[in-house]
Amino acid sequence: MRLLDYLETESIFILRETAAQCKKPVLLFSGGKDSLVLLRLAEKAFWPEKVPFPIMHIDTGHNFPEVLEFRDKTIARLGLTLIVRRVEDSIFLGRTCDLDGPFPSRNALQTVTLLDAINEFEFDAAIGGARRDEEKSRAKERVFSVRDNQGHWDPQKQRPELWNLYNGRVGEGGHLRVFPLSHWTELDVWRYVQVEELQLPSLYFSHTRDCLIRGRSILPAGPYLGPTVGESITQLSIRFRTVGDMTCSSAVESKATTISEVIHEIMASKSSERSGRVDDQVSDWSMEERKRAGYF
Amino acid sequence: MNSPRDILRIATGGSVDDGKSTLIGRLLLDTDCLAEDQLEMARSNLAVTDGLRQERLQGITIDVAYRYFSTSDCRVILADSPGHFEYTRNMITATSTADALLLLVDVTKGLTEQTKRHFYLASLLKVPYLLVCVNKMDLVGFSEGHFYSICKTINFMQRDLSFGKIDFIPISALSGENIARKSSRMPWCKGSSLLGRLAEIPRMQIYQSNQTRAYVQRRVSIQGLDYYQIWLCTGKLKVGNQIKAYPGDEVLTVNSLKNWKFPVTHVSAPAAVLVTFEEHRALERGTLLCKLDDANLPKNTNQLEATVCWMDNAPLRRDSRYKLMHTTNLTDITDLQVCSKVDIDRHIAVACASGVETNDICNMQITLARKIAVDTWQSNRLTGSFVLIDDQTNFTAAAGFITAVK
Ligand SMILES: Nc1nc2c(ncn2[C@@H]2O[C@H](COP(=O)(O)OP(=O)(O)O)[C@@H](O)[C@H]2O)c(=O)[nH]1
Repeated sequence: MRLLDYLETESIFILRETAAQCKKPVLLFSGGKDSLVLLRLAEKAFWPEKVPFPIMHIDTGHNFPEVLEFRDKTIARLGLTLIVRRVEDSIFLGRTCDLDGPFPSRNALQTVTLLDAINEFEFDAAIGGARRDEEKSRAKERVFSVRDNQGHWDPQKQRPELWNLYNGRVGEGGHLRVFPLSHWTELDVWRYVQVEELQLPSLYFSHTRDCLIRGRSILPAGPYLGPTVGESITQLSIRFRTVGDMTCSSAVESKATTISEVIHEIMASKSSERSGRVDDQVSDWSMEERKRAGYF
Repeated sequence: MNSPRDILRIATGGSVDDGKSTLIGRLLLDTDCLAEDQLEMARSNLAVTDGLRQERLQGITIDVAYRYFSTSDCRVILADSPGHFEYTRNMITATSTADALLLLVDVTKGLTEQTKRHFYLASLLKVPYLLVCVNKMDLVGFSEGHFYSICKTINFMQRDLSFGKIDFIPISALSGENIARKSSRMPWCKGSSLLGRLAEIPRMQIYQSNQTRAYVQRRVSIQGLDYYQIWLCTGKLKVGNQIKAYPGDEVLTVNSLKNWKFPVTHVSAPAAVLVTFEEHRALERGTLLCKLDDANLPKNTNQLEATVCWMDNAPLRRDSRYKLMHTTNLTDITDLQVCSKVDIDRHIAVACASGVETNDICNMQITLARKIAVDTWQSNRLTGSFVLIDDQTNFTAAAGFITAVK
C-alpha cells in the first residue's frame, strides 16, 4: 500500500470516528496547507454528505490579508459554515492583552480566544491539523487528546490509545482535540497537496518581500513587525513554510514557484519547520507550556 | 522523488540505559531524517525522543512518543516506549500495532528483570517479529563470545514462549555499528544490518488476514438510500460479495464501493470506504461485516474470556462501571470476574488475591449486556481486542486480548 493512501485512509477513519462519537465537533482552519489538507480529507470522509460540522478560524488580527481572502473563498466554494473569532475582541473584552515589547506576537494569545469560542458554542471536539513530526511535545500527544474543563492538557493523564480504538468520551465541560494528521510529515502534506491538486495561498511560493533577519529566522516586515535597534530591512526572494500570525511566520529563501519545486527544496534542506518560528525559540519548552494551557 | 512505498510500524523496548534513545537518534541520523535543529540537540547529548519537560527533569522517557523516518523504500513509524517497569502499559500501547519490536539489551549488563518482562509481554502480545539488539558491543571489543552468550541465555529463557519470529543482532548504537550498514568491526556477524533486517520483514501485518472484517462507522441516509462509512480492517471486499452482518445474521450483497465520489470494484484493508447494499437494512454503527464464504467467521457472544492489561492509575473496581469498546461498539458490562493474575516473572497464572492495579495483567471473564461479534486475538488482532472505559472518569482503563469465546 502506498504511504499517502494509508495516511489518507487512516485520517478519514479518524474524522468519521470524531463525527460518530462527538456531539458537536468543529474543524479548526487557518487557510494554511495543513488545514487545507484536513478540509479535503473531511470532504472525502463524509461525501455524499457535506462536512457535518462548522469550520472555525481564530484570527489574531495579524493574519496575512491574502490568507484571509483565500480562507473565505475556500469555505464558500464548499458551502460550509465559517465561524471567525478574533483575538482583537478578546483584548477588547479584557480577556487577554498584547505582550510587552515593540512588535508583540499574538500567537500565544489565540489560546484564550480559542477556549472562549469552544465554550461559547459548546464544542466537544476541535479538530486540528497538527502533526507529530512538528515538535517534541507533540510527538507524544494522542490522536484523540483530552482537555479538561479549563481547556488544559495534562500529559500525565493521557489515555492509552491502542489499535484502531479511539476513546472519544469527555467529561462535563471538557473537550477533545483531534489530530487526524498525527502521522503525517511536512513532506507528506506537500505531496498530498500535489496529488490532490489543492490550491494554496500564494505566500507558499517564492516572491520578493521586505524582510527582517532575526537570529535564525527570516520574518516579513510590515505594520505589525518592524526593525528594532540594530536591525534593518532587506529585500529577499522567499516563501513561507507556515502562514499564521505575521509576527511569527518565518520564511525561507527560495526560488520555488511550483509545488514540485517546493518539495525538492524541502528534501534538500535540513531545517525542520518549526525551527524558524520565533515563539518556539523563546524557551525550549514554550510549545509544551502553551499546549498545557490549551493552545492548538 | 516518489513518496515511500510502504509503512513499517516498529516499537522499542528494554531497560533504562540500555541505549534506546541513542539507537533512535542513530536511526534518525543514519536515514538522514534528523533536521538541523534536532541534530544540534542530538550532538548536545539530549535524547531526541524525550519530549516533555517533566521527562527531561527526570532524565527519562515516561510516555509513548512517535518518531518518523524513511528508508529507501519505506516510511517507518516508530513508537518509543519507556523502560521502567511501572510503565508496562506504555509498552503494550506502543506494541499494539507494531510489525516488529526492537528489544535492547546492554551487553555489559546482560538480561535484567525488566528485559525479561518485556520478553514475556512480547510473546503474550504475539509480536510478529522480535529483534533483540545486543547493544554497546564497543564496550566488549566487538567480541563474538559476549554476543553469543547473551543469545544463549535468551534462547534458554524463551523456550516456553512463542514468537512469530525472533532474531538477534549485535550493535553499537553510539558508534553506529551494524545500524545502517553492516559493521566491519564484527565480520563474524551473520545477516545484514539492523535497517537491512527491517527492510525484509512483512509490513502492516495487523491489517493482513485472509478474513474479511469491516465495521460500520456511520450510516448516512440520503433520499431513501443508505450509505455506510465502513472501516475495512482486514481482508478484501468486492462489489457483488455476499456479506454477513453481525450480530444479526442478515445476508447482504455489496452494491457499490466508493473512495470519496469515485466508484471502485474492490478494496483491500486498511480502507475507509463508502459502501451501499442491494438490500435495505438500516445497519447500526458497530455492525461487523464479513464475507459469507470466509473460512473463519466471528462468533456472536456476550461472554468473553480475555487477557487484560490494567492501565488506569486507579485499581479495578468491582462495581460495574466499565464499558467495553470493541471496533466501533461501546457495550455495557454486566459482570466482570478476575480469574487469575499473570505472574510475568514466572510466566504462570496465579490466584488473584489482592486487587488489580496499574500494569497488572490478568485473565478475566466478561459478561456483556448484549451480544457482539468477535474473533480471538489469535485469529485477528483488530477484531480480537478491546479496551475498557471507566464510565465515570472516561479514562481508557485497560486493554484486552480475547482468548476464548463462549
Ligand atoms: N559505549 C556505548 N555506550 C552507549 C551505547 N548506546 C548507548 N550508550 C550510552 O548508554 C547510556 C544510556 O543510553 P540511552 O540511550 O540514554 O539509554 P535509554 O535509557 O535506553 O534511552 C548513555 O550514556 C549512552 O551514551 C553504545 O552502543 N556504546
